[in-house]
Amino acid sequence: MPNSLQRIAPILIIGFGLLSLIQSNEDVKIVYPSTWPKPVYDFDENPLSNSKIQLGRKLFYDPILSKDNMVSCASCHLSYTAFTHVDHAISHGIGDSIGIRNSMTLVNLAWSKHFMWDGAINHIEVQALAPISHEDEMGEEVGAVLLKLQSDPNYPVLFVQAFGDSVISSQNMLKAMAEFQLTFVSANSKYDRVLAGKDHFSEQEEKGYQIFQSKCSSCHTEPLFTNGYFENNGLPVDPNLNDMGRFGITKRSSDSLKFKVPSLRNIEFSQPYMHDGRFLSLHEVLKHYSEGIHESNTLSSQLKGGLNLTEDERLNLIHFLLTLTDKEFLFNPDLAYPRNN
Amino acid sequence: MSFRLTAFFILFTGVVSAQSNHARSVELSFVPTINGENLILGKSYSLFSDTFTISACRFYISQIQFLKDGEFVFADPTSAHLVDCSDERSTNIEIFCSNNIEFTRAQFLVGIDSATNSSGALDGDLDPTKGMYWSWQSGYINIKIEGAKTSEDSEKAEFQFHLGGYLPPNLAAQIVNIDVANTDSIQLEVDLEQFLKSIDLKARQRVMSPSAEALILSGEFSNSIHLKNAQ
Repeated sequence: MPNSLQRIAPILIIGFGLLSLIQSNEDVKIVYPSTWPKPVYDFDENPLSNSKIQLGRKLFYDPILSKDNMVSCASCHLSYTAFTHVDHAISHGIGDSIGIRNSMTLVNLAWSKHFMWDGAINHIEVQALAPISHEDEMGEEVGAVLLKLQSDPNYPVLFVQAFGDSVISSQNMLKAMAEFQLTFVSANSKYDRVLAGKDHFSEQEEKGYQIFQSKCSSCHTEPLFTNGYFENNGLPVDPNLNDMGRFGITKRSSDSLKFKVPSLRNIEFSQPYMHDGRFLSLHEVLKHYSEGIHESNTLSSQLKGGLNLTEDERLNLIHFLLTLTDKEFLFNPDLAYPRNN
Repeated sequence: MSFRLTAFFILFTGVVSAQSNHARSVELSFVPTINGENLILGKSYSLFSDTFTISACRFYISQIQFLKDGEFVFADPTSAHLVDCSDERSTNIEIFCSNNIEFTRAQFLVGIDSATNSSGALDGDLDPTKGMYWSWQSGYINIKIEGAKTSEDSEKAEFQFHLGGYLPPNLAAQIVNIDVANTDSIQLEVDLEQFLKSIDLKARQRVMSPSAEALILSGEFSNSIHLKNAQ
């Protein structure tokens, strides 16, 4: 017996070694309320792992992705501000260049079928290709990014840990970035706690919730606060930007001036609002929906004639919208800049 | 330990028998031509009283299948092959199938189907860094033809055709059927002269996104693929 143990000892050691590697890299599951719909992203097919999430996190915060090594994903998608670019109507990229749209918030992306305001991107794994190569965002060839990562002292090791391959491929880079962003789950706002019976709305919040359900929720559908579709919400076209939204992708006239319905979660922190950031406050937003609707062929039918909210209704609605703030999400250290790496 | 040994032998014999089942190799070769000669990138060709040069000719071939009397008998497991005229090896696609397969027709897609276009980050020939992927908008460029035309009055006009589209109504991938005897070498001519002839280069020198025009030109390109050898 001792002899045979000796013989298999190396195998056992290697075996336990592999086991511990697998354990440290075991599947990570995102947590969300049981009442939520099933995510769009296929986690059974592509289970998340901690090493890929951490690699994706490092990439998300690393300006190495941009041509001048100055702009990272977080430059326009900051965790503390609902992963968007506050104080800038239109987000800017390398060399002070400026795009045409306000950066979107990044939240509950596992439930998203389309990405970007016009839905140009059809899968979270290929989303990063757009900002990396856009000349007004990161302005870099994806192939050049891979070369920079390959010659970096840290990345090849991290790619081995995550994917078992030190040769850095676009597929592995993109999958790692997607995995990190798939962990951006915001499901613990006051609204969520009230629904779970763990908290109570104030009188104003409750009144606001009722207005929300009757006038807003057909597009900003609970619990994700978006129906995932494209809508024309009655904004007159900015002649300087001339942005036709979804039409630019599908070339269908029925899609003219339609933009992706954004989630309202953490809206307290995601100003300015709309695809071009034209409104600085929620008051301005509600003024638009009440009395500023611009009629056109593709206008959402629910908005015809405007929502005509009274001053009191607007105030109550804002009180409700502030219950969508999820501080646990916004200040989650696991989503913030990776200081230890 | 004995279980491990048994498992090893089962695996080993499985691999060996799988290899013997795939003993037959069929080569599908794409030969781009212009003026009846094999295309050389950058070379000047006289066509329709103008001078043409082609600087890039790349296209995807996917879903290669063999049929016998209308029935599918083999499907290539490789999701897609990028044929790039600047890399001769890529123009010969080697397919491994079982020895006992006989076929009377080859069928393939010029381009990438909708499901693959919506499948996230892929690798191999479908790696989005291969220059055949639109980054600003998801989707593969099925066919990329670039070059220049110099007319008699020395006026030079560059043309760029990046043809693709995976969303209806602009589904650009084209099914091509080739009736061919049960051979190990299928040579297909890609008649670029025919393709260029179909385009009014004065009216359009650039198609760079999914559109009705991209659809028409994708059809013209796949129509310019003919069986070269009739063995």
